[in-house]
Amino acid sequence: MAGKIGEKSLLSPFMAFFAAHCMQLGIGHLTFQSDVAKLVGQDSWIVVCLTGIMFHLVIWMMYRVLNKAQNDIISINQAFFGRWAGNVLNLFFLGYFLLFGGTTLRTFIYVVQVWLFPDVQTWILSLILLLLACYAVFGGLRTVIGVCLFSLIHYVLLPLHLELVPYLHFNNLLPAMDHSTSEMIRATQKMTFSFLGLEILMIYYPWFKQPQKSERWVHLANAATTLFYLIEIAASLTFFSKDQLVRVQWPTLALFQFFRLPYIERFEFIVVTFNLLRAVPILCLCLWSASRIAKTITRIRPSRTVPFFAALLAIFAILLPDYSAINQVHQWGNLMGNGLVYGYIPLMFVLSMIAKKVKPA
Amino acid sequence: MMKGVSALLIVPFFLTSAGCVQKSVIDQITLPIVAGIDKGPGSMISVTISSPLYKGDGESKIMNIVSTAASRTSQKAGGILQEENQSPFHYGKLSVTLAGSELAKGGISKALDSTLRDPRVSKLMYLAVVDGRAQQMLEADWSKQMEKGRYLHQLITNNIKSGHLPPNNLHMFEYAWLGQGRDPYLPLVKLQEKKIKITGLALFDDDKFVASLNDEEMKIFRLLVEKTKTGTFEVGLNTDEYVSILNQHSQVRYRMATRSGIPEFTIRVRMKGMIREITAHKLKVTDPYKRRVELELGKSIIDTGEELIRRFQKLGIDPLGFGDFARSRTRHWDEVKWREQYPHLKVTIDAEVNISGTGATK
Repeated sequence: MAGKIGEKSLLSPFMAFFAAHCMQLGIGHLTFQSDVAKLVGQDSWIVVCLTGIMFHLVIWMMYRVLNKAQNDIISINQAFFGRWAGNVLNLFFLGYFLLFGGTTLRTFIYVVQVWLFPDVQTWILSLILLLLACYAVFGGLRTVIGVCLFSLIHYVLLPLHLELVPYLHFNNLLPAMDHSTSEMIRATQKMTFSFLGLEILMIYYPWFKQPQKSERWVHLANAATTLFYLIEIAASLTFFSKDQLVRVQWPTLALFQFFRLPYIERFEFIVVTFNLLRAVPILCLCLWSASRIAKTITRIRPSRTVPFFAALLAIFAILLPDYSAINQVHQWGNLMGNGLVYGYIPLMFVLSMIAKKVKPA
Repeated sequence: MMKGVSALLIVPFFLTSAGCVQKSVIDQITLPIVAGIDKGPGSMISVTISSPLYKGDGESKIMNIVSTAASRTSQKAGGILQEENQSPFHYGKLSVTLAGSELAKGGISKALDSTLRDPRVSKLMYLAVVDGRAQQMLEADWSKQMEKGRYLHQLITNNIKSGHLPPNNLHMFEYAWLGQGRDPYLPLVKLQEKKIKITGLALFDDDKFVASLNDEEMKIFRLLVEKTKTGTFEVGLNTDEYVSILNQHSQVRYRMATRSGIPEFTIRVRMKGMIREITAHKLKVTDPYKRRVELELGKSIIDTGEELIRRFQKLGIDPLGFGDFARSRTRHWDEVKWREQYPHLKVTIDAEVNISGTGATK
């Protein structure tokens, strides 16, 4: 199948960095501090490191499978499990990416509704964001990766944390390793949610020039995410007392409440708006992957499926009324993601080690 | 061509979608800068909002319109106030909230819930406890030139920056209130003959106002809280000989040792200062004299500090955060056990003052 993709639409391997990094820093990034601190308090930063290392392992396994088959996961599924069962798995992937996109859309809109405009309707923002996403997806994969550059906005904002230094209590990081192993494992499961998104590379794999070279960029993306989360968790743990952090809805945004400029009293409003922009590339990547899977399974053109999936996402977003519903969906997403990362990928790794040569589908 | 046309069609959509949220024009909204909360009748909260009114001409350009309403929730009280205000309230600029002492004694957290919940209210907002009723203070006429909220905001800011008031804001209050092994404190303000004065510090047990420090005690308290670079301290050598020392730099460090089960704390305070004033006749500052002043000031820091800590222990409050410090140094720290231990802690202060200069006079 790799032969079918024209040379012109192929991506450079380094673009894998943007795709992976952008997918990882999604909704999990907004809330992970309180979720993890609830379980392990001051040891949260260790959990962040642990999860980062787990994901390096997952990437390694993922690329062993992909490199051997030199194809995307859609075809690998079909080759391993037969056409019928493979397609059921592919449908699961399709559903997973749509869920990923849908929760991202709804959560980011919810943040805007709480923080900026309580009276804005969900459908208006969904429509705007999805129109933008569809527009980018129709521009082709290269445009989609271009949009991913938006996700780097938070690096520009990171130095603003220096403003917090007078408020930091470094004692909050002590005593280290004060929690049991089972607590750490449970926290790692929670933390996994914030690292999810790399799986999308399994769909994009054949679209890279010399796809095996993209591996190191994905590793780099994961390392960057880990480092970024480490900074965020350290800032949140030292800035808030533990019980306070657990009560905060979005610690990442709350940290920006303390930055003040003479001409901008409330800087976090700008951060919230920037955040909304970060939802667009995630939506693009999800829509593109979903339509790609649909095309391989049913041969329906992406120009038909992308608007259909976008409409599905919009309906999904509108149907989620409040935070408890959104939270519930986060938990499903977390469960599916955990299964995918710690169950499915290792399984595929073992299978591909055993299989002598993958037959072309 | 078709693509261009369809892209153009989107433009009116985006233009109209801008009308999807309510507009707020700065001239048509009220931005209260200071609000007060008091205990109302029964279990009600009485909310006072002082809204600025800009007249733009003549002697007094700014006026405050003070209105009060009581209800069970502060949000509803705000709604009642809205009914007598011509333009909608927006709380984004709220910079100071005053709590009446009666309310503060019964617990302040219920009344503060709506402020903590609303992301539009800045976490940098100051909180202060009023010796008396907040409503009374906001209704009194003590600020001719300035809007009352801005006046209070500046008063507190300046006292933190160059006075003796330990830093404080809504976030720090919440931090200490929710944090384990730590209790919050807030500035205590009082209305004195048409003037507002910061008279000391209000100390809290959980969220209840239980005791207060006067401004002399607050000075020493601040030295025990954080690194400082401000403040003037006075030492009496004889009945008519007083020396005033400017604090140039002070550092504080906590240490904990556990012997026989109960933790022992040592607080090490180091201060570098400069003599600013001596009320003695034609005195030349010699080294032994300097040494005497240094020792006297060090002794007064130790005496007052230890006396304060004993008082905290008796009240069972922990504004200095000994518990938090112990938590960070103890594996599996237990708050319940700590509470039992707290009154029996042994705390010693080790203070040393170093006088580096005597000003422009020898």
